Amino acid sequence: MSDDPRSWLELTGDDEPSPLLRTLLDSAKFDDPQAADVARLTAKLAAALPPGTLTPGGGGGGGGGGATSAGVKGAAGWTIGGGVLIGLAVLGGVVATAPAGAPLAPHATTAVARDIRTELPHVVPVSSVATSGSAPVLAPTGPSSAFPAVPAEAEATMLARAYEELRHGSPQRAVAVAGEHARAYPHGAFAQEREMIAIEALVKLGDRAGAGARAAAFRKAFPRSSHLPRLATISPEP
Amino acid sequence: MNSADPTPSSARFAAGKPRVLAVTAPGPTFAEMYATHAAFVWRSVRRLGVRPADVEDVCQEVFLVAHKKLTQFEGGSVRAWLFAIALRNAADYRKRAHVRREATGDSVPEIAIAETASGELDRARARAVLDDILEQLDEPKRAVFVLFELEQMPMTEVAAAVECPLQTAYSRLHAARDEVRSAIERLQARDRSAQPKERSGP
Repeated sequence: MSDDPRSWLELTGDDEPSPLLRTLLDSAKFDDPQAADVARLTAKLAAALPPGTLTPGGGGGGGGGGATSAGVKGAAGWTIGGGVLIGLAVLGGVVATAPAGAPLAPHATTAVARDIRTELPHVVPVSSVATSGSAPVLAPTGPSSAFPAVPAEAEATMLARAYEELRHGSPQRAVAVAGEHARAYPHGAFAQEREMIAIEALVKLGDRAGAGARAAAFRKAFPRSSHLPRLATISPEP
Repeated sequence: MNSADPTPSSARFAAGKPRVLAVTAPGPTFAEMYATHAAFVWRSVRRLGVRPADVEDVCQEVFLVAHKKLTQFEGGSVRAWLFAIALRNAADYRKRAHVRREATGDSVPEIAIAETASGELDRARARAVLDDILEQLDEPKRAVFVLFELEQMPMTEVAAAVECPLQTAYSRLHAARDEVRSAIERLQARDRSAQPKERSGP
C-alpha cells in the first residue's frame, strides 16, 4: 500500500521514535501465544465445536468443508515464520481429524498436511533416545514422501497433558509424555512445542546437560523458530 | 453452539444465500481460518486490553463467534473480519472487567518507567507500560494504532477491520500517535518528579 504512512518503527530523522517509544513498541513483538497456549486453545475449541470442524475438508462447522488450494497455500505461507506459528498453521491441516484413539488411517487432510510440511524443517525423532529424556530427539532429515496420517486431535490432547504434567504434575512424567508424543507423532504438528516442554522439564529435573543437548538439537532443527527467545531463557546457549 | 453444517462452503457461496457476496471463489473453511489467523487473534485480543490470564478464554469466544457467523463472511480480508469480532469481544470483556474492578475495589496500578541500572527497560516492564498507554486511548483510536503500528497492517485493511472510511482511519492514527507521545511524556514527567523525592529521604 504505497499511500500508507510509514509505521513509527520505520520512521527516520526528526520523526524517528525515541528509544523509549521504540522499546515500548518492540515489547509487543512477544505477544504471540506460547506452545502451551496453542495446545490449550486448540483443545478447548476442539471440545466445543462439532467433530471435524478444525479439519480442512472435514465438512464440520460453519465454514463447511472443502479445503481450497488457495487456503492451503495461505496456511503454508504463514508457517514459514516458524515456531508457534508453524504449530498453529499445521493445526489447520491435521487437528481434529479423528477422535482420540481412532486407528491410524489415511484421511482427507493428509495431502494438506504434506503440502504444509514441504515448507517446514523436516525432523524425525531419534527413537533410541526418545525414552531417555536426556538427549536430543530431533534430527534433520530430507523431505518425507509418505507423510503419515495421524489422529491429530489426540496429538493436541497429548501435548496438553505433557504441559499439565510440567506445570502441575511431575517434570519426570512430562518428559515421559513428550517421549510418548515423539514416538506416536514422528511428523506431528507440535514437534517444536513438545521439545520446548521436554527441555523445560529436564531443566526442572536438574538435567542441564540433557536439556542443553536437546536445546542444541532444537536450534539446529528449527533455526527460525519463534520459540528461540524463550529457549534462550530456559536453556541458554553455552 | 450451532450444529455442524455439512454443506461445502463452495456450494453455499454458489447458492447465493443472503449476505454471502463472494461467488467466484469458495470462502475459507473454519479450520483454514483458525490455522492461519489464530496467532493474529491472540495478539489482537492481548493488545485490546484483555489481561494475559484471560486471553485464551476471549480467543475461544472469538473463534466460537467466527464459527457461528462464518456463513455471513462477505469476502475480503479474513483478518479484518476476525479483528472486528475480537474488538467486540474485547470490549465486552473490558466492561465485565471494569464491573469486577468496581465491585472488588481494584485499581490499575501505576507503572514506573524509570530505566534499570543497565539503562534499559526490561521487556516485561516495557510491555506493562505499553498496556498502560494503550489503555488511555479510546477504543477506535486504540484499534487503529494496534493494527497499524503493532501489527503492521495496511491502512485499507485497518479501515475495513474497524469499519470506518480510510480517511477516518488516518485521522485516528494521527490522533493516537499524539496521545501516545503525550502519555509517554506524562509518564516521564511523573518519574522525574518522583525520583528526587526518593533520593531526598530522611
